[in-house]
Formats: sequence, C-alpha cells, structure tokens
Amino acid sequence: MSPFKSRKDLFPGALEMMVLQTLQHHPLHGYALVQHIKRSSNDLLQVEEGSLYPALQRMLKAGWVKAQWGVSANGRRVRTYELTAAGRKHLAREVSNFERMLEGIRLVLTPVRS
Amino acid sequence: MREWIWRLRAMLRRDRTMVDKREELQLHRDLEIEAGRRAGLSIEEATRRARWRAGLVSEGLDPVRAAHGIAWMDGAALDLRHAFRALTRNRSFGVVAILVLAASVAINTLIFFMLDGVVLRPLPYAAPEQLVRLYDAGKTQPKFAMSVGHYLDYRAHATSLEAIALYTGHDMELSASDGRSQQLTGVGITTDYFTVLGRPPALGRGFSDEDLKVEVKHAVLSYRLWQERFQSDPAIVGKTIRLDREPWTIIGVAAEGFQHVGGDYRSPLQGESVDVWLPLTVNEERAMRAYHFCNVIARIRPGFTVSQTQQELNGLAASYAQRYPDYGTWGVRMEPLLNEVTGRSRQVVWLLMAAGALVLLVACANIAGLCVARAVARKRELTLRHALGANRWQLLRVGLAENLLIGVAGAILGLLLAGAGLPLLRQLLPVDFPRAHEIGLTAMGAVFASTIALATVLIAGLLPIGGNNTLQAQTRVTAARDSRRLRSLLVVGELTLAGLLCAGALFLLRSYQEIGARDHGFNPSGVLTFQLTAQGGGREHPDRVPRLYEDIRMRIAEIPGVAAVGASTNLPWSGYDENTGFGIVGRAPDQDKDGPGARYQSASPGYFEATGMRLLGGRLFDRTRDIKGQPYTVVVNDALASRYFPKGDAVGAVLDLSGQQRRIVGVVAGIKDFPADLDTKPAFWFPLGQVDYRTVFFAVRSNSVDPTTLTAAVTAAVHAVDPELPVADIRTLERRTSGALASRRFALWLFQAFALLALVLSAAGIYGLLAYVVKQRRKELGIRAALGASRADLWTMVLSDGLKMATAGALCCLLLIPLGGSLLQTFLYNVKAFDLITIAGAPAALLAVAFLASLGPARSATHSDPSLALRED
Repeated sequence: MSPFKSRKDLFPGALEMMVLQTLQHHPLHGYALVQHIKRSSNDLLQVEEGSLYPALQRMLKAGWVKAQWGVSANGRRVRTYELTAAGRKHLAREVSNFERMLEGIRLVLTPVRS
Repeated sequence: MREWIWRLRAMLRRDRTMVDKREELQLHRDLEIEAGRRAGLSIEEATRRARWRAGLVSEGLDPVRAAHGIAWMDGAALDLRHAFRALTRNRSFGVVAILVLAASVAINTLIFFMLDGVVLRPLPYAAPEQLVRLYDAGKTQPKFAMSVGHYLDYRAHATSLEAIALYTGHDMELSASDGRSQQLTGVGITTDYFTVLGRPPALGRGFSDEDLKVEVKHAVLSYRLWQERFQSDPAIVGKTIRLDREPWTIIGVAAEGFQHVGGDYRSPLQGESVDVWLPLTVNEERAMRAYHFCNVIARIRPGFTVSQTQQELNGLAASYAQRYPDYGTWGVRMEPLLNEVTGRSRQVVWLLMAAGALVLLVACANIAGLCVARAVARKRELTLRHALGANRWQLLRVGLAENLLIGVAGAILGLLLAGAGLPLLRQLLPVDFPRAHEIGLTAMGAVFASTIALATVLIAGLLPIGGNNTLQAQTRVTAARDSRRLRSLLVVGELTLAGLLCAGALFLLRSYQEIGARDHGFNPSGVLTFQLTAQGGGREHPDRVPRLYEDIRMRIAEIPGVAAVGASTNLPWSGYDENTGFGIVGRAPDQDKDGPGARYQSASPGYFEATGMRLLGGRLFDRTRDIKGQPYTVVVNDALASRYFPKGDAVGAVLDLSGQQRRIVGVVAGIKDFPADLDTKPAFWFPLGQVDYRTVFFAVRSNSVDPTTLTAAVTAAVHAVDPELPVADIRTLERRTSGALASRRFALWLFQAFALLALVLSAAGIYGLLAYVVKQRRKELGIRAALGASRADLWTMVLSDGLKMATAGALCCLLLIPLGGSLLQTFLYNVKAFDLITIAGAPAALLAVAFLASLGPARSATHSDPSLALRED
C-alpha cells in the first residue's frame, strides 16, 4: 500500500548519513527533515518517525547533532537539529566509506568484460 | 563516559524529556496532517494517514525510552515484580528467609536501641563533651569524693574550667497537710550546678552564693514534683513548703525533663531521679577541708584541651597541698562525664552487640544456604533465560531482587518485633542500669535495622555466586555436588558461631553460679528491709533519734514471727562507700600519709543477727553495754582484723578515731562491696547507740519463709512510735542483693537467648540441607534399599552426614573457645578461659542439636518407597 521503503531496506547507518547530509546546509526540525529527504530522493525514500526520532536521539547522544527548542513561524514550539563539528567529520568519513563500498558493489555487479 | 552523563541527565529529567518528546512527535503529526489537507484530503483522511504512518505515539516513544537509560529503572521495577511473583509462588523459601532475617534483625535492633540510648546518644546537656567529673586522687583512693576546700580553690583559680559545681545526696521528708508525708530524693548543690549543665531552671532561679548558708532555707523543685505535688502552680516561686518539718522557700523549678548528673557517691542515678535541690552548705573550716563527700561536675572552657586542664588542676592541687599540709596530699582525677555515667554498662552493651552480630552472621549463612538451594532449584529457568539472551547481570538481578524484597520485609518485621520487645527489655534491665530511660524506638534504630537487613540479604545473595557460577557446560550431578558442598560449609560456619555463642552463655552461667556459690558473709533470704529517716530532736532532745530507733526496734522484735531485728547505716551490696582513717593505740603512726583506713558504718544490736553475719571472735553489740555513757566500742570485720592485727589480737585492741578511743569488742566475717569482688575492704561498725545517724536501714529476719508477710505489722510498729515517719523503700534483702547481680543476670539471659536462637537457626540449616540431600538422593537410597540396605543403614547414612557437619563445627568452635573466654574475662568471676565444662558443653550442644535436626530427614530417608523412587523419570 505504501510506496516508501521501510528502515529494514536501508543498510545500517544510511539513515544517519542522510540526516547528517540534510542538516549540512541548515538546521531543520524532524518533519522538515523527512520532507527534505523525501523530496531529494524523488519520493523514493520516506522516513518513518518511528525510525527518525530514535536515530536523532542516538546522534544527539553521540554528539553529531545538537538540538534546540525554538518557535516556528506560526508560533509553535519546535525542536530543530543542527550539525556539530563532530557530526561533520563523521559524515565525511561515512560518505567516503559509503562511496568506496558503492564502488565495490558496482564493480561486482557490472558484468565482466572479457 | 559522555553517554553515561547523558543517561544520568535523562534519568533525572525523565518527565521533562518525555514531555518534550511527545510535543516533538505531536508537531510532526500535525505538520503531516496539514500537508495532507494541502494535498486535498479531508481532515479525517489526513489524520488517519498520519496516524497510520506513525503507528501510535507510544510506539515511537518506546525506542526513545530504551535509548534513554530509563530502561534500567523500568527493568528494576520489572525485576521486583517478577521477584514478588516468584516469592509468592515459592512461599516456603520466602517465609523461612524472612522469619530468619526478622528474628536476627529484631534482637540486633533491640541491642542497638540500648547502644544508641546508653552510649551513642549525647547526654542531655549543653555541649556535653566539655563536661567532666573531678575527683580527689589519693595514694590508695584514686577516685575519692572531693572536699569543699579543693572545690573553692579550683573555682577561684582554674582558668581552664568554665564552671564547676559540687553536689551530694540529701534526702528530705516533705510534709503534707493530710499528715501523710513523703520521702523526697534531694541533692545539695553549689551555685553553678545548673549553669555547668547549661539547663537553667524553668521558673524562678537557681542558687546564688548567698544561698549557700545553713540558715537560708531555699529549695528548687523538680519539674515533675512541681506538676504532681503542686499542680503546676505558676505562682509557686516564693511559696513555702515543709521539708524535714521546717519551712523552706521555693525559689525555682528546674527545667522540664532536666536530668541529674548522677554519681557513685551519695548521689541519685543519672536521669530524672531528683525531686528537690537544696543549697550545699559548709561553714566550718575543718569540715570544709577534711571531709571528702562531694561529687563534682565541671565544664572545660572552650579552647582548652583535657590535658591542659588536667595540668592546670594538678598545679593547683599541689599548691593546695602545700598550703594545707594537715589534710593530706591529694591530686586530681578527671573523667569525661559520659564515661562516668555509663561506666561498666558500656562494656555490657558492646558485649551484647558483639553477640548480636554473631547471631546476624548465623542468619546470613542460613539465608545464603537457602539462596544456594533456590539457585539450584531454578537452574533450569536461569539456563533458559540465558539461552534466550539474558546476560549474566540480568540473571543475577533476578535473584538479588528477590533478596531485596526479603530484606525489606525482614527489616520491617524485625523492627516491629524489636519495638514489641522493648517493654520486655526494659523489664529485664537492672534497675540501676545507667541511662535506661533513654532506651527507646528511634529513627537511628530504624536506619540500623534496614541497613543490617539489606546488607545481610545482599551478602547472602552474593555468597552462592562464588561457588556456583557456570551456567552451561555443567551436568546436573556436578552442579548439585558443588552446591551441596557450599551449603555444608555454610552450615558448618553456622554451627561454629552458634557453638561460640553457647560457649559465651556457658561462661557467663558458670561465672554466675560461682558467684552464687560463694560465701558472702551474710544470708539474704527471709529478711525484710526498709529505710527510715528520723527528724532530729534539736538541742532540747539530743537523744531523740537513738531512742526513737531503739523503741521501733523493740516494737518490731515483739511481732510474732520476727527472729531478729536491727538497724544499720547501710545494707550489704548497696554501694555504700564511706571511709575514714584511724590510728591504733600503742602503735606508731605509719609514715604513709594515707595511714590505716577503713569503711565506717554503724549498727544497732540485732543487726548482725538479722542479716545473718557470722561472729568470728569477741561479741556483737548489745543494748546495755553499747550505748551512750558506756565505754566506746566498735566491731570490726575480718579484713580489718587480719590486715592490721595479723597476730589475731584484734579483740581488745583500741582504735583512735579522730581523738576518740574505741575498743574492738568483736570480729565478724566480712562482706564484699560487690558480689564478685575479689577481696573484702577493711570495715568497722560503731554502735548506733553511741553514734547517731538520722537515716538508717532496718533489717527484720522472719521465722517464716516469706518475710513480706510481716510488712503490715512492721509498718504499724513504726507508726505506733512515730505516726508521721515515712517507711521508705520496703523490700526484701534478697531483692536488694539480687540487684547487685542484675547486670550479670541480664547479660546472661540475653546471651542465653542469643545462643538459643543461633542453635535453632543452625538446626534449621542442617535440617534444610539434609532434607534436600535426601530428596536428591531418593533414587540412590531406593536402589540401596532394593539391594538390601537395612533401615538402620539408611539412618546411619543420613545421621552421619549431619554429625559430620556438627563435628566440623564443634572442632572449629573448640579452637575459638579459649579466645572467646579470654575476651570475656572481664565479665567472668572464677572461670578460666579453659573452663572444662564450657569446652565440653558447647560442642556437646552442637552435636545434640545436629542429631535432633537430622532425625527428620533420616526418617524420611527410611520411609521412602524404593519402587516409587525408581519409577520416577
């Protein structure tokens, strides 16, 4: 019924990586993060809140992001997340790891030319 | 590290964090619904989708909670719930463990109440640690009552003392309008008595220096007397009452609950023991310097140490001795007040505390044994949990949670039991036990009870882990063997400790019997005693008091059933301690300044006969020769005779008592000051007909067995002579003298109770283990029976198991008994650390208990049906 993927389909660390990447440009609250990921992935990826918030919690604990309560344009209390320096470093490392892995997978999947 | 801080913060701010989470998720949902609306959905549909997408809020929250470190606390609550269910399922384990724990916590808490009240709690005075008792210290009398002269000197010159006061007992007769007068416990005090203690009177004032004169009749009432006798009259100050049939003006009422300091010499006990305070007056120069009759309380000035104070007082005492060489050389002895108040009782309390700790150890071993059995019984469950992914800590926690519940229940039940036992303890306590009034239920006691209860169960819960730690890779047989070995060890430990307690009880019992079997020099049974304080006849009738007492004596002697009657200044074992120096006519005085000295007292004719003292030589007092106008006489005890007249020529010798010459007419067998004292103090008696005493004790020996039947007749005889004279303190001599042994009896009783409890606990330990073993070996026993083992064989098998443990325990305790005996030595009389009866008795008790406890399991071993056992699994 739903077109989006569940977290089981993502490999471990993927969600974190996307969240960190999304936060790289500006701080966002949870819903905006979901929307951003959805839009950027051409609606291929829909993050569930059941995965998102625990993930944010883990990243808070690891010190990759920090959270702050603020007030939105229409006056609601919102919690926005911001990338920290440690998060930035972690992201860079993860992305390079990921790219190397992707490269590996691509090489394996590409039919061998003889 | 960072993670731990984070978790800690999360736990502390748990509620706040959860609210934040909810709000954040709610926002998410609302935004989602809004987006749905924008996409053209109805609000219901948008909400439905948002909900569906999110699951429930709580679903989103659960992982958040787990990540929070709240899981740990939730887990603990779960463990406790689980433990509670497990305990209610396995009721016998829980009930036995709780009862064992509660019993031992109860007796320990009870003893702690004593420790707290008697030793730990500060005395009810301002800055009590600054308070000291002072004594004059002589060559042969290291702690002697102080003379007024010394006091005046210290009060005037000692800079290290903030204040100092004297006090000495002085009972008074309070006349009432209805003619029924009342004996009051009175204490004569000097000016600063209330100030030293930091408790000024509630009404009026204390004494000033001007009050300390014979002609000034001022009195301070105790709060209790003011309430009870004077209905809390707010205008009492300035009113007049009749004390000793003379008018006295009340100038104050002491503070509510004010406690007297107490002292060994002519002083009521520490506590609310005093009814009235009077000025302590000394006018005559000689009386001031020569007579030592005062207790001293002093306060060290803040900033001065004990040794600085001692040094300064030493200097003052030395210069005093130079200025007044006629009154002997006296130093100063200083003791902290608390030590003086609690005295030897402190040791008794600590001894009982130690005995209580042993009982607690036995209980701990007992519960540990139960825990081992429990761990083995639930081995399957634990293995299953382990297989399902529970880690070691989680498995451990289940057991610990159970023990925690047992600990809490045991603490509460134990505390309740201890509270219920308090009245009983108070009844058992000797009448003169110091600070007995302070013993009660306190918050400290509750803290103590819960601490020892929890410590005991946690230790008991952790002990089995040392022995039984591998969950997998162990066959059932080896696991059972290991746990059996551990439990046997625990039982042997219990038996050893129980044996030690038995040995302690035996030591004390033996000592008590030894004292009882001693020749005390008098016979307390069948004697009624009471106290009289006659009013002097003044100058007109100087003979009033001796004549009054002689009249009373004759009246009582006429009562049918009275075998002998006499009066004396003091009764045996009453702590009477009045001493004097003397010379021996015809002998050069000793170089030693202290010279010959002896206890002096006074007795009427008939007194020695009434108390059953034995005449060793010469004669006793009689009513024709030992009266005024006849030659001065004296009766001495054997200790005085043998010390100063070793050739046996005491009778006929003449003593010089401050210039008065008295002939020794008789020698009696001596009485020790206290029943367990090693030697008798030299002592002599004046004839009461020649030396007046206003306060005397009468002793009436009855022909019948129960002397109390004479009470009415004796009181009537006294009132026939003087209708106003109060008959105070009527008690049999036996009750008085048993008071001297009360402290020993008390320790003995408690020790016996402890030993009994420890024996019961170890019997339960043996029984539990053997019953378990028999159950485990059901099959083996069945096979043996089937192969022809007789009942007797099976009996012996089980019994020998029990007796083996008992023997091991007995051997361990044999090694420790002499050590225990030497630790107890200060409490023992005429019993050696290698007392044969004790050394044989304690192990015998262990073997007997083990035998009895083994009977049950042995019976069930022989009664098990072999076929049933064999058919099982």
